[in-house]
Amino acid sequence: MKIAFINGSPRKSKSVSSFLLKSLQEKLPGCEISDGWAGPFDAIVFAFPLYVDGIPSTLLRELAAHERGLPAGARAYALVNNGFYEGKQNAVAITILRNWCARAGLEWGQGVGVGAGGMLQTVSVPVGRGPLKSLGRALDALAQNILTLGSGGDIFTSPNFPRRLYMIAAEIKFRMTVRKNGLKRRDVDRRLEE
Amino acid sequence: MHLILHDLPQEAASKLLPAQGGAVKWFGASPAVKPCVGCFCCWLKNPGECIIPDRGQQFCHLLAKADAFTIVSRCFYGGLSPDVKATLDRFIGHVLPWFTTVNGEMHHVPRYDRKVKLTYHLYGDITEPERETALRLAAANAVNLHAARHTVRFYAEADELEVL
Repeated sequence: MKIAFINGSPRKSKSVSSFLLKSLQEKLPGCEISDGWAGPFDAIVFAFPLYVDGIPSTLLRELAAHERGLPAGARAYALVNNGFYEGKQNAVAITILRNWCARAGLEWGQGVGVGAGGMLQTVSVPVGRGPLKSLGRALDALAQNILTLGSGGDIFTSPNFPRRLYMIAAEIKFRMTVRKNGLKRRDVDRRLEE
Repeated sequence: MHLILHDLPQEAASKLLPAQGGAVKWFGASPAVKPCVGCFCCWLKNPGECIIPDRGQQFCHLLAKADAFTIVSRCFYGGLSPDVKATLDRFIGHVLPWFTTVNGEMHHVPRYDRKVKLTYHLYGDITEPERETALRLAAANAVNLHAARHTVRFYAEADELEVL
């Protein structure tokens, strides 16, 4: 089976999207996986970060450029991550991609919305364990569908980790970066001239 | 101030949008500003303003002064056009990195007290599922922009636009 991976993150190899694609690839043994749009392929998997409730403009531009000429009937799958805790906040972006599929002549496979994207690479446990337990289950289900070129309802995952703690941990990380950048806490809240 | 972000050609903008000056300011999305690269400088290094040195930096300055924010965009798949989205993606500095809970979900704390009236004017050949998606997108954007209220209008052609 030939599968195209599209990493729609502007951060490319450093991105959470890249991490998610690598984690998915481990669950797709024996498949021929290529990066980018070049066909032919049986399935195409998009990974991207949520930008203002939608698709990053860079990927959106690529989608518009590829509305024609893709292998008809190939199945499309999506792995969308956001910085908020709730994976469900990726639902609209997944639907936008699904609407694009209808115009591009692709069959819709399945979307997975992953919450707390920024945390995935900072916890030192493998996918499927501890806070990444629900992510592991979602990737298993997605991989199973891809391997059979099947479809399924969207899956939304939040980390197996309390939301309140996630918010605190993310804010601590922000504060550390602020200090490293030579700024004070109050500088962060500055307002442009209103 | 009423900020209108649009992707219309100059001539169409002059014909279809309220005249600029005083309380009305346009931001033309085309040619596109450089895309957001997800560096978070607008939160942690150069708070409130995007660090990419192009006219996209002005967008947050304008949004900070707006009490009405209107988006005029060709509808792509139930979302915005790539040019309009490139501008909107640069808005992140309009909110703070800190978190709060809104309607039981995690969101960012607003940087400004002013709450905008958010209006979407979406034009083009829009399917029924795309309309539904656009309504959900506008509702989600309204939460993240801390809008006072939001409205969505659809048009088959840009010529039919009625932007007040």
